[in-house]
This record gives sequence, C-alpha cells and structure tokens, in this order.
Amino acid sequence: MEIVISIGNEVVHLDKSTTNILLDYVGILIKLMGGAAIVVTLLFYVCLDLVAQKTMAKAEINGYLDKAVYTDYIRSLKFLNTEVVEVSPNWGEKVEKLGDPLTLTIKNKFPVTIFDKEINIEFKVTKTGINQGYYGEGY
Amino acid sequence: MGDYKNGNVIPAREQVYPAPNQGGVSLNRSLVFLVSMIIISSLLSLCISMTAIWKQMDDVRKVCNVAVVSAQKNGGFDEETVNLFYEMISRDNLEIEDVQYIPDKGVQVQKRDELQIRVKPKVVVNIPFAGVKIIDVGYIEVSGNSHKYWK
Repeated sequence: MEIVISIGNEVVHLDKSTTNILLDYVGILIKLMGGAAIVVTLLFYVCLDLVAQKTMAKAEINGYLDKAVYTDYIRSLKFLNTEVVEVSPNWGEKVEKLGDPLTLTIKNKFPVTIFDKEINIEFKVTKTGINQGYYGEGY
Repeated sequence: MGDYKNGNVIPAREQVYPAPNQGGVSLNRSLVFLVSMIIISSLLSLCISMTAIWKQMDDVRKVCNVAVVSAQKNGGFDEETVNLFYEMISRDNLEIEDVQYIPDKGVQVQKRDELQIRVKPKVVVNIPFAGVKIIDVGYIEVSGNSHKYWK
C-alpha cells in the first residue's frame, strides 16, 4: 500500500516502510484517544455518582432532598455539565413517614467535537434511598 | 555481496540468518492470552457476585435501621413498626429467612432501653457458570435505644 500526500502543488509518494510507520502511529493515536475518552467518562461518572450519593445520604437522614446540598457539591465540580432529571419528592418537600422512598436522577452531558460534528456523550445516575431519620409530622 | 559489522565486511557465507519460526512463541502468546482472559473473567464474575451480595445486605440493613428507628419512636416493636418492616421488605423485593425482635413484638420499653432487631436475609445470587446460589450471610443486627417515655 502506498500513500500519496499532496502539499500544495507538490505530490509526495511515501514508500512502504514509511507508510507502515505512519499507520502504526495513527493506530497508537486512536488507541490513546479511545483510552483517554474512557478514562474521562469514567471520571465524570464517578464524580456524578458521588454527588448523587452524598445528596441522598443527607436526604435519608433529613427526610427531604436538599437542593442546597446538591448545589454545594456541584459547585465544587465545575467541569460537570449536569441536569436534574427526576426528584421525588420535590426539592425541600418532606416525606410523610419513616421508610418512604426518595429518588434522585441526575444526567451529565458533555459535547465532543469530532471533524466539525458535535456529539453529546450523556449518562444518567439514579440513586434511591429510604427515609431513615425523619419521624413524620407531629414529632 | 557482504554486510558490515563493526566496520568490517562480513562475507555472505558467514552471515547468520534467524531460525525459521517453529510456532513456539505464537503458542506461548496464545496460552498467556487465554489464561489471562480466564483469570480476568473469573475476577469480574466474582466482583459482580460480591456486589450483588453486598447490595442485598445493604438493603436489608437499611430496612432494619428504619424498623429500629420506628421502634425507638414508638417505644417498642409495635404493630406499626412490624407492618412497616414487612412493607419495606416486600417493596424492595427482599427475602428473609428469620427475624428476631428484642424485646419481642408488642412489648413496650422505657426510654433509653435497648431495642434490637436480628434479621437473617436470604441472599440469592446468580453466579456466572455456577447458576443461582443461596449465600448464608448470617444475621444482621441493628440496635438502638428507645426515645419514648411511658408514664
């Protein structure tokens, strides 16, 4: 296989060994980019999971999902582009009694531009918990 | 034709060519790859199974914790607490083998008296290559002290 490169008016014919070396480097580059993408996605996922987990842990004690707690954690992770998908019950709304379920779903999306095309990589984290600390109204 | 070695020309008849490939290196590499894959898949299966066990135990522990908190509030394992416990168990699709309430169901305790629930969960795990197994994890114990004062 021979590669022909055109630089301006000049045409360069690469010989077989140079082509092989070039292809090797392209392969390594693709592997490195793939590896980096996987590591970054994992890192983002772990951060998002941590935020959801910390917010839920607090909610399980207080009996409600506190937006201030969530915002505090998110503010410290500025590189995340998050969006709250589902909150049950609503922010600040207390559950009725012990054992009532709490749900929080957060979505993170980060745009990646490859060859002038924008691709949004999205992933969701859902955390469920149960009220373990709030007795209910009247106590 | 000759070749250069340390600046001297080596005659063609003295040149050393590599031995033809006998297939040994290729077989070794395949074996190493196969063994590595088996080890990695076994470790992954183990991790998945352990996570499933840990999750079920954590869920049961949470339910026990809520039951004890409810008992603390009511001053004993009354009907409301027991119903709440079973409601949570069925809602989370958990299975239990045995439950022990200390003190027994319906017994009222004074403020600061100890309350304990002991639950033996039935942990069912689907282990790859081994099928569905029931794991004995013993009893999960959660304790607390009553908050209610009976006059």
